[in-house]
Amino acid sequence: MSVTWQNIKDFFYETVGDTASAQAFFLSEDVTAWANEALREAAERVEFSDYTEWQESTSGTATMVLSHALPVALWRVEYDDEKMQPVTLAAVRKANRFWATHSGTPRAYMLDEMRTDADVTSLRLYPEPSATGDTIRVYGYGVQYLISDASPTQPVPCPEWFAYCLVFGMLARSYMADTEMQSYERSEFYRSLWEDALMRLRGRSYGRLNKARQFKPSQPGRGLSVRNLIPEHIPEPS
Amino acid sequence: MSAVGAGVLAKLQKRLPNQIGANRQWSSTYVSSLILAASHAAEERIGMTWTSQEIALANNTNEYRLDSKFVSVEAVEFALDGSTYERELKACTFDDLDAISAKWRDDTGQEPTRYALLSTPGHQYVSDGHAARIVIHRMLASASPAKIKVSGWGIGTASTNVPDDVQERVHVPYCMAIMRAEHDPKEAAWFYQQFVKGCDEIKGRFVQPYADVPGGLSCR
Repeated sequence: MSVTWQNIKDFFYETVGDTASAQAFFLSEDVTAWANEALREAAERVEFSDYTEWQESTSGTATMVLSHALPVALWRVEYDDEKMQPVTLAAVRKANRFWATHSGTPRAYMLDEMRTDADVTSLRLYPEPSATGDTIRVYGYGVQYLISDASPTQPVPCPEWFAYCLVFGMLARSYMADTEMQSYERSEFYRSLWEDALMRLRGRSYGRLNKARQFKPSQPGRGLSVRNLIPEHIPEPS
Repeated sequence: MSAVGAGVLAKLQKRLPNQIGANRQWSSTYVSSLILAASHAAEERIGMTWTSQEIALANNTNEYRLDSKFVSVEAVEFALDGSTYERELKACTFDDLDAISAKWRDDTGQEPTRYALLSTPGHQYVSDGHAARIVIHRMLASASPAKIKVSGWGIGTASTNVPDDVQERVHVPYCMAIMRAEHDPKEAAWFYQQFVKGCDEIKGRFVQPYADVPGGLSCR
């Protein structure tokens, strides 16, 4: 059974001795804003949510604008089911002076020099796609969905076991606000609970694969092997 | 042993007489939510509840949604006939899969051999791109009746049975911490400390004593 926004909001209001219908101390819109702020903080600090977006390529269109307006850190882009390499525009300019008109199957993507609006995330595919209808998958850390009073039965976008901890982040913020309820001591208490919960989530997020995870063996290289330290030509003593 | 919802409520009523119920300081609904929050926090820290989910594989599909009851995924098994789980899938990352095959997402075979996870286990479903998911490699062209079984530590419900002394040392301090915070945050901090201490002490009861053996289970 999911934990919904209504569950969280009711829990918050009764913790502070208020009700969602009376809103004697805190307005509903402020409470929603604190919840979203706490969610974004968690998403950015502990990277618990692998947000995914799919789009289809259009021949001749190299710029891809993500459909949401929230900041995310991209960690993987695939074109037609194959991983693309992140590169910088500066490197592409050096490698190919005709880069702007080069078209084919994109194998790299660039994020630099693309952000002209801080609220919009876009990337450029290189080379420019020559086909239409290929799948582009983008993976990143971030919260795609924002909590809203318009959909109170929507599950809170975080792990179910963590959902009630969101209230700690909201309470830490609400007691800092300059209202009759302001209390730095309570705010500090809830802030410490919030930090503790975030640390737990961080452990679960970074260690999500079990211990028996298959790992890549180290690649053979020069390393510090004695054989690799011997010069190829040893000159005769003069 | 008693159901955690009813058991903790009875214990809290003894500590806070005449304060829980209709027209009192705390409503029963609120205390039930608080007990559930305590239960989730305790289960995450201690690893008390083992849970699993069977997923029927679909043709040419390699991504499946996970239940939100998971806290961690510890094992994934495959059953070709949908009932006899005799193959274990290896955990790996997308980078590992890239090293196996550039177009691993399109690979098909007789049985999946590896899996990767998207989002922290337990992430609630909001939309198809926004939920905890498992990605398997290789997908099956003709899947029916094959299934995979995902197992790991999870969370229970209000009716999950928990030993009474665990409720006393873990769930009650957690609830008291939140309920006393309005009156005295220092007292609340002490209760929260008791909750963390209780979890640390009780954890030893539930963790397998063979965690040092490769493949042994443990709850971080």
